[in-house]
Formats: sequence, structure tokens, C-alpha cells
Amino acid sequence: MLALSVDESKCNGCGRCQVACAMGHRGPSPESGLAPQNGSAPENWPAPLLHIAIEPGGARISICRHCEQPPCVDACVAGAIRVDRERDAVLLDETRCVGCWSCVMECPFGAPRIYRGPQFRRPAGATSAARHNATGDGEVPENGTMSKCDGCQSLGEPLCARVCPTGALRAGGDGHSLASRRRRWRSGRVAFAGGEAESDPGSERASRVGGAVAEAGRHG
Amino acid sequence: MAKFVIIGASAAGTAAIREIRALDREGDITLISEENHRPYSKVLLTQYIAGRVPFQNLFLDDEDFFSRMKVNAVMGTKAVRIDPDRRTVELENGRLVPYERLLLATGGAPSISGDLGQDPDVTGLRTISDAEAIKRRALEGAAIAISGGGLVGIKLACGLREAGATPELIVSSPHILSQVADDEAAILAERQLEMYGVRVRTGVDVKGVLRGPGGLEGISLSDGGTLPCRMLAVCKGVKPNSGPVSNHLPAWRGVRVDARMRTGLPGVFAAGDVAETQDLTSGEFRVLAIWPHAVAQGRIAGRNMAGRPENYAGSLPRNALEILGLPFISMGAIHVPAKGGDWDVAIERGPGTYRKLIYRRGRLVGAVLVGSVLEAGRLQAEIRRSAHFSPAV
Repeated sequence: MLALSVDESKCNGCGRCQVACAMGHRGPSPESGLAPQNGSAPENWPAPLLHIAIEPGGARISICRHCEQPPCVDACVAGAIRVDRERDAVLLDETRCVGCWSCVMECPFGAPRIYRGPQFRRPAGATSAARHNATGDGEVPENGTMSKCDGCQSLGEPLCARVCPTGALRAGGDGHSLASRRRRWRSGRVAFAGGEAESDPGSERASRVGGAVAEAGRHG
Repeated sequence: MAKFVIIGASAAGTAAIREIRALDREGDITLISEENHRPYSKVLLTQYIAGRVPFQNLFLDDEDFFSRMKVNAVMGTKAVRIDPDRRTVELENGRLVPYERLLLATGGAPSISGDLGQDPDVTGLRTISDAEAIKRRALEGAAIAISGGGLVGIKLACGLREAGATPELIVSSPHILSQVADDEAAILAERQLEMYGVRVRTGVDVKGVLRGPGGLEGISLSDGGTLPCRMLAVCKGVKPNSGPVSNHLPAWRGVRVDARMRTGLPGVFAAGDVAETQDLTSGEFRVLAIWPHAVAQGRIAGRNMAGRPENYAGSLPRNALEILGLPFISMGAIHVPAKGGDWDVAIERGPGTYRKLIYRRGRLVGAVLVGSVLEAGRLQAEIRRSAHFSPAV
């Protein structure tokens, strides 16, 4: 799929990728001279389509891997995510997305996000008698839509890889063609992240909450 | 030339069709569907009621899906029974359809108890026509009560609220979401519903209907009270549509299948909401009726039907929903047994958020996330790894 490889072990959390992503997709271009500040974009900047978190076990890069047989596509109840064979990418149709969180539940890389702004809506079409006044003005919150890496479709090359100083994100991928990826996926191995992992593609570390820890690690 | 017959045109059926056609370009595929619509997403029906999904977006494939897949579609016709000796499917009009490989992807039907099911103003929510009926009444301003505090009931309540109605939710359990959440998470969800105008009544059940000359006037409740309403939507689970094979297979809950989606009858496979598969967290065989299972099972069934053996990875119960602005995801084993000596939980609470991770023998086996759910996918991967290395109990 998409020619981008991810190696979390090389990430130092500088955040340039997020700034480039946010600017490239929705803001000024990276050539405009704006530099990342303290490793992250200013608050009022548009949200990036990838996310870096520094955790006790190391950096975690949440970015779409454009899987060959993506669990998000299987789980999408709205037909909003599809594998685009021509563009070699997993793409989202925002007009179909209903923000149901299914893809968020499925993606082992934590790539899909749903942002919630102050989105409220006054229901239309109902009789006034049926309108409730629980919130004062009868408005109800509205779902957001999912956002994730689009592979910089309109920008020619993945901007995050262009600005990454450590090689954690690299353009050029792993050199495997789509067909070869598919075979490898079927056989239970798939390439990404500068190496191979199980095609039930999980994270490499246990997640931690509170004090309790499950040190799942790698088995098998 | 192989003869494939698929009964049911929803997630499992269409996934199987795609897979079979990808592997066998010439094989003869016949689809039998009780409904007259081309394949659509049942899960979107509450969003359609909400007014957020236009009618045409209920359909997930383009109009020429059947012709592209070279499927002979028999629409609006019910498959009544199969004859496993002659390998035929009998349709309600008496026609016999021969098969070599058959997929039962018939899904489920709303479970509506006894007398309630006879009332014209009582409905389930499973099909486009159910949704159309509910939506029409909502837009007329009719008061609608919902029986059932599970996923469908809550999603319907949210959808109706978004459409401007003020539904009431009648839940027999002490809390909503009793199958998939603990009390604390459920209470957060209940508060959210109430805050935005959905009334939730717990610990009470619908006893009967009160009819007047103009139709339904209300329902009577198990606590002796009554609730005025013009329509009642019953969302208390679904029962598998195992009718066509019920003379041949024990289908108490669903049709049990092996890892290749085989039913035990020669050449007969099952997938989706009608199939009983192994729950990775407990080892038990259950109907785990969620969309991603239906798609995965349909695909696996299709591969095996087309002669490419592949095993199903097993089912992991999980659900995601949005409750009027509050995201909720639960996965895996949620309820810690009373004598759960080797079980452990970790709970984190924040403003508007609740996260509970459930461990067994130090391994993550379940999670309930409210308000803050972005890590759910990684947690699911971890739960799957745990399940993979735990012996079925």
C-alpha cells in the first residue's frame, strides 16, 4: 500500500510531522517558514491527521498504515472507508461517515480520531410540540466525523516523512508491491514499522491505566 | 460449474458474494433475499431516523453491485426450508433452488414477546420499513416509547431525539446497557440521555398495550403505572432466523458453525447474526451479532465455499456507540465473576470520562471506555492477544 514506513523506535517526539500534517492539509504550507513550537502546533492550529505520544515505553505514532485488509473498513457500518487500489491508500468519504466510533474501536494503531467541537444542532422537521426544552434551546450534540491520514493524496508525497529528522517516518515504504503485500498479509505476516509484525496487527506494548499493568509483550 | 446460493443480503451475505466472486469468476451465484431492497446497512437505520443519513446512503454498494458480481438476485422472496439430501432451497412461492454450496446469512428478527407483537402500533427496528414507520410517526409528532436499554434501544432513542422527538426508554434491568457495561458506566450514559431530553425508566417492564379507537394510546407497566404513547418500539434483542434449517439442525440460539463456518450439513455454511461462533473471551459458542463479525464471517464463509480453506479467528464481543455526544466503547469480558480471584480491574475517572480495564491472570481481557475512547483499538489488539494465549474455559 502507501509508500510510507513507520518506526516508532526512532521517534524522538519532536512533533514536526504533526505540524507539517496540519499545515499541509488545512493550513499554510511547510515552505511558509512556520516552525513547530515546543514540539507541537499552537492550540488554534488545525488538527493533524497523525499523533505522537511519548509514553514510558517509548514514542507511539498513531498514523494510518493503509492496511491491505483494514479492520476499519470491515467495521464501517456506513460504507465511508474504502481501499482505493489506484491510489494505494485507505481513504475516507466524510460525506458518508456518521462518527459511530467503530473504526476507532477496530484500529490497532489508534489512527482514526473523531474530533468534537461545539457541534450542536437544532432538530429539524419535528413539530414544536414534540420539541423538548431540556437544554434550554432544544439543541442536541451532533456527532463529528472521523479523520485520519489520507496519504497526502493531493500533496504528492507524505509531508510527515519529508520533515521527519530521525527516519521514524520515511517515504518510500518497504519496497513491497501491493500484490506482494497481499500475499504476505494472507500468510500472516505483513510489513510495516521498519520490520514485520503479526497481521492481527497489534501494538507492541501493553497499555497502562492506573497502577495495574498487563505486561503482554510479544508472545508466540 | 459450481452453484452457490446465498440466503440473506446484508453484511455477511454481501461479504461472501464479494469473496466468492473474487475467487471464482464463473461460478453461478444466486442470492435470495426476503427484502426487496438492494443491500443496505441496518446499523444506519437509527441515523436515518435521526435525519443524519439520507435514504440513498443507507445502501453501501452501487446500484450495479449484483450485475458486477454476476449475481442472480431473487428479491422479496423468503426461503422457507432446505432439503439437505436433494440440496435444494424451497422458496415461499414453491420454487426450488438447487445448490452445491449454501450460505445461511439470514440474520435475526426482533424478539417481541407474545401479544405485543400482534399490535399494529408496536414495531421492532430491523428493516427499512420498520425505520420508515418509526420515522413517519416521529415526524408527525407522535409520542414514541422504546422498550429495551441495549444498543439498539439507545441508538433509537438518540436518533429520535435528534429528529426532534422526546422518546422514553423503558428498561427492565436496573440500568441501561446491562449486557455491555458496568453500573458506573451505565449511569454516565443514563445521565447523558436525560440531560438531552431522553427520559430513562429503569427496573420496569412493558406489560401490555392500551388501545383506543384511534390506535395505541399508551402502555401499561410492570410497576402498575401507565405511559401514554402512540407507538412502541421493542428493542429487546433479536432471535436468529434459522427457519430454513430448523428441521435439520438444533438451533436453540443460533446455528452453530465450526471455524470454517460449516454447519454440519453437507455444503451448508452460516455466517452473521444467525451463526453461533466461539467467543474468544469465554470459549463459549454464542451469537455475537455485530457488524464486523458478520463481515469477517461472511468473508471466511465465502473463501471456504469457493474452496480456499481459511479459519475464522473467533469472535470478540464489542460495541461502540455515541450517546448524544458521549462516546462509549466496551470490549471483551466486562463482568468480573463474583469469585474472580484471578481477576483484577483498573479504573480511571476524569471529568466526563470513565475507563475500566479488566484483567485476568494479569492479562487484559476487557475494557469499558466512556467519554475517552481513542485508545480502544490498541486495547482490542491487546485483548485479542490475551485471548489467543488463554485456554478456552
